[in-house]
Amino acid sequence: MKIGILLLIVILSVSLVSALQISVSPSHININKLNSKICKEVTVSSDRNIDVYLEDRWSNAGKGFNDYNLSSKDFDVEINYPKTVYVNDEETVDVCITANKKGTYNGTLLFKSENVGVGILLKVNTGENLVNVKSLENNSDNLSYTKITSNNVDKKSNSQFMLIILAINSLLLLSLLILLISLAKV
Amino acid sequence: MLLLTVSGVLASQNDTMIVEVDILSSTSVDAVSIEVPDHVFLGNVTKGKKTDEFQVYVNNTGTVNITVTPTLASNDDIFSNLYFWYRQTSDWPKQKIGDFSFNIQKPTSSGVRKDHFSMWLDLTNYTGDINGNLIGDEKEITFVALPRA
Repeated sequence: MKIGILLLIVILSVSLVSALQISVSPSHININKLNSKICKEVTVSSDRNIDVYLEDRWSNAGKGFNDYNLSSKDFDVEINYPKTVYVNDEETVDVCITANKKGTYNGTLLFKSENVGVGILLKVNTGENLVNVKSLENNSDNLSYTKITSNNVDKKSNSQFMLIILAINSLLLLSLLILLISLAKV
Repeated sequence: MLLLTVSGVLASQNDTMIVEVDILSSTSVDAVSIEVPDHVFLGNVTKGKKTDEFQVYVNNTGTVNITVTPTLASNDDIFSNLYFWYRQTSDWPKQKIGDFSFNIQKPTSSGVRKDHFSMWLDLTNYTGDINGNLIGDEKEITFVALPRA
């Protein structure tokens, strides 16, 4: 009975081991400057000691992986990274990108080993001019922004606001006086 | 109470206010990470037949929502007939390799979000020649995970 349980544990352990995990961070690199070399450190880690092969692919739309079927040359992008990295627990890779073509397009830098590929997105947005920026502003889904809210009192409504405050204060003082008088009577 | 009302008046008289916000770097430190099985054995199949459907589990072990796409490492007449079915539900179509991909949301507190699909080799419409038994015929399928834009 005990041997059977032990065998079951061993079998379960073996099935758990036979899965490969690869992690890459960060998930995105944004390139917003034209003709400017941007270098980032990308951390790749795995649960095994493995060779990881790197490759980049590019796309106009870039929705699914199969859309990434163009090369960096098609977008006049210079990209430098090591083609192979031996990952022993965790390694850092230097990735440098120069976008020489105006526009919005996406790439992916793929870290592949055995049957797993993990990609980071390379988002190039070297917009043509302010028109593009305005069109982005109209689409709130494309924006990430910090919203600051406060109770703002402008000068025009300041006097009106003061009157309301004074009225409330007067009422409060009156009720306080009534309370004090009623207490004194008791 | 009087003090409170006085302080209210003082605050309203002040035309300026201090606004504090934490502005975080635009550089993301999110991680893309998946875990997939090393090996799937689809059993025996002959021309004109299909294998049983096998469930394959993929774990999202990163911190972002991902899209997982299985791809063949190289073109192959036989293995291009691999089919996939996400969660085996009628809401999703059965799709051939090259057309199939699915999304896995980022994990919550546990650090892992597990999802599954079934896969099988369908040679019912295969017209090529198979010369002799191809015992242990293997092809590498790469499961590619990309962060969802």
